[in-house]
Amino acid sequence: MPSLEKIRFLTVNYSRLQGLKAVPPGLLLFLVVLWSNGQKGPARDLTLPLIGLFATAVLYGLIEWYYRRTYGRVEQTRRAYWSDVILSTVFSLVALAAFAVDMETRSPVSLFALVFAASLFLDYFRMLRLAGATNPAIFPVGLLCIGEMALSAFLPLLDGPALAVFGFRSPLFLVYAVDGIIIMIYGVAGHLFLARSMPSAGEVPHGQSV
Amino acid sequence: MDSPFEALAGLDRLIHEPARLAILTALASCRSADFLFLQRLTGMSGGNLSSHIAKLEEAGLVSVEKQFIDKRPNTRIEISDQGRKAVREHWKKLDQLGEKAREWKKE
Repeated sequence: MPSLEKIRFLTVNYSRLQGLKAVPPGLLLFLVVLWSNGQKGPARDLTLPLIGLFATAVLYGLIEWYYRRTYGRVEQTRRAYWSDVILSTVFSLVALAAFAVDMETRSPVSLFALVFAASLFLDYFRMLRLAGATNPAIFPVGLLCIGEMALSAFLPLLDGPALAVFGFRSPLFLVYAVDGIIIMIYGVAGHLFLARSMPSAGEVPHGQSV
Repeated sequence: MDSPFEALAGLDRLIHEPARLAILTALASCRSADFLFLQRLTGMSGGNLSSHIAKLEEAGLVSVEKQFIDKRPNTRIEISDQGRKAVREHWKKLDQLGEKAREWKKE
């Protein structure tokens, strides 16, 4: 049985630790970057990205269903729910603004990647605080991914020939492709953390009777 | 002042039992959870978990609601106000006990 601190952490952050949910958006980001990189001039036909968006939504729903069937359901406290909603909205808006700044300024450091890493970092400590956890390294792979995300912001500092190795037209494409991969790794790490912390249900697969 | 041993003896055994403390700790961290989640979280067998939940329900610390979701039976467990208060006081006592034990060692 996990420690009481871990039990609290897993229960409070159950929805956030359903890491496979992060894989479709990460994959979408990665594929959209590859698609954009292959475009000559401004893209006119957005069919492929829109199909990708639809597939991402479907996959997300299926993964949510998988978690409910395999690990069960938890209803968050009102405080945790509203804090989730408010922070997700704020982070999304700030990330969108950072993306716009990236596109406009072509700065050598990606503000989007920095904002994304900062929001994940703040979210990580919010997860700890909500659970009253004292061990900041309770999910070390998560911290490692956040660090990698922050470092990816500086990839445009690589010189031209180094970037050409990856075949990207713009340094920002490389940053976003790497971020897509990190989002997927972060998600898989979260899932493995959850799967290892919550062992098999044993004799009652979708067990009910009390 | 009580010795750590006296304080230990004064703990509520219904709550202090490790499996029940784990269940109450999880339930105190959310609004409700279903049977499957608690089973995966604690690693207990279905029968074992059922018997612990039944004891907690009998004491009025949790409430159990059976329902059907997507045509499948689902058991939802929610901690009561009394249960939330009891587990909070229990943690407080455990913290105090820890402090007492540290002081006792120094003497």
